[in-house]
Amino acid sequence: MPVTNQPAFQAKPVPAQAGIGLRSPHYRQVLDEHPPVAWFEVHSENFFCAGGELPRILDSVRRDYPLSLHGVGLSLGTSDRLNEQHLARLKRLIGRVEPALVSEHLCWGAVGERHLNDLLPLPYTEEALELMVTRVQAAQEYLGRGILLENVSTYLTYTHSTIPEWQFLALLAERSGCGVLLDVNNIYVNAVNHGYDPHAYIRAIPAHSVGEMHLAGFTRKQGLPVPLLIDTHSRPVAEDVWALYREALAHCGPVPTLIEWDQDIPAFEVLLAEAAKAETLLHEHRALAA
Amino acid sequence: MSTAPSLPELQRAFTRWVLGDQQVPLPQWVAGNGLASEIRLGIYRNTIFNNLTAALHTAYPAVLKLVGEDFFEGAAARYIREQPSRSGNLQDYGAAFPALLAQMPEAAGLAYLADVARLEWARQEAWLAADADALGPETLAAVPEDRQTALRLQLHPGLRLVASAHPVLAIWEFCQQDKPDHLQLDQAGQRVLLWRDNSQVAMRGITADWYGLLTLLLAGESLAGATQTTLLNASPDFDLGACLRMLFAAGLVTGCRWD
Repeated sequence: MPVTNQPAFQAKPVPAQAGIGLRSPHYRQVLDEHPPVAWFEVHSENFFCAGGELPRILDSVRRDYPLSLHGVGLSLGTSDRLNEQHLARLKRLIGRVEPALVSEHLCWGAVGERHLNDLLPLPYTEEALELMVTRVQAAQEYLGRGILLENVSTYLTYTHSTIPEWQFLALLAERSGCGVLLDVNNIYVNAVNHGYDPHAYIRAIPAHSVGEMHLAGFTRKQGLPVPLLIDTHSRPVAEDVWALYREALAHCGPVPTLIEWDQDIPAFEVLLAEAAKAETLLHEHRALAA
Repeated sequence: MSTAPSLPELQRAFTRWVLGDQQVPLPQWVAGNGLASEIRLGIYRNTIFNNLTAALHTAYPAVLKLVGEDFFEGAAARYIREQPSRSGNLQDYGAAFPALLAQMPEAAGLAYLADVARLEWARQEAWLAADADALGPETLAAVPEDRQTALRLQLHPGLRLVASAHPVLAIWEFCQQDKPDHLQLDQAGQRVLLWRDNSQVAMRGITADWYGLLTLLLAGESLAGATQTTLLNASPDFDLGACLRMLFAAGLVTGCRWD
């Protein structure tokens, strides 16, 4: 019987603590310095490549930290067929790195063989809901695991939408069996952009379905007659969003919470400080609940 | 008020609108809420163009340096309209950008530009290509005497070749300088071999003979056949042994068969 000193790899569960979205400017530092971070999330597509340095980097990260894969390009809400090649690449990556969490977005991004490579808003209609339920189920079946779906920030609503966004998300989770990745910043951005009540939004999401939360910073578009926030992931988390996060924790209980920063990416220490803030609120919540 | 679009109608109209066809009846399906629908949609158009342009920036940093931000953005915008992204992974976007640069009349003054772009796309492909274990030169000793002529070498999936009538490698290196000095453009054309060397993409200029030989090997030609063809036009100093030693030393021979 072959004996090996190497224990088999065990996927580490993502804890209900603050994690950080790992982006290329910080790969080297994380591998070299092994900073104290509870878990990392990466964009799945960045590691779709067949070989080379990137897969090796991810292998190192997942050996040392719990890992979550967050997709940005599957376009679950396309009215065309699902892109099987994309799903196959995702499945291969999942098989290789065994992430504790896998997530995608409630949006569309491609039609007619053309990808727009953005998270585009769906109309919230029965037609779109039915499509999304089918798609999420198909993806979960193909991948052989559950996924989390994230609410996206939007800059428009459609005149023919008939279902409030929060209800659409809740119904999608209920009917498809997927979990919710509640992006608290996106709720805030949409509340400002579309006049939603962010508190009612949070209360409408079934607490048990929320498997992760996201926090990020937005910018304000200047020179318009109405307030419009853009989800740039280029700033610290806003005070109002921290307050909303507190409410979300009270509603859902403590869940893994990610700090995302994708443009004008600062020193890693800035992300650590944002994660520490989230950790403080998670801790406060636990103390209150105890 | 028109009837509500189906989801396929809406998504196709959205795509056409952001790509510049302002005749499609999309804005009427967008709630204004205090803003013109076109402004709301315009945010998406900007993000889409910015994301795809950023992908081209990542793949073509030397081209960006040669032409500057404004020209690059114009070329990128034209490319985005003409060449749809076919993948949800932005690393796949930009393969035909060199061809567009070659056709652009505005770039005609920079005859080498498209070739520098081809070199950069080859770098991107080499960087992302599959891994393969390297064979050592001793592999050749294992080939039976009577199968020598059938020997085929499999080269690393990340190996790429670029040939140009311009000194592309020298131009690319020039672009890496912080304070670019001056560039000698009246040099001979260059043929470049690219491969992945641990955490970087390695490049070296190679002779026309090596380029010819490697092109044939990549096409699946036997080593004997490729050598024979190369020798027909080779310069007197063509050294097959040196070429093979270099391939093995760089870990670029990853398989061989003689069936």
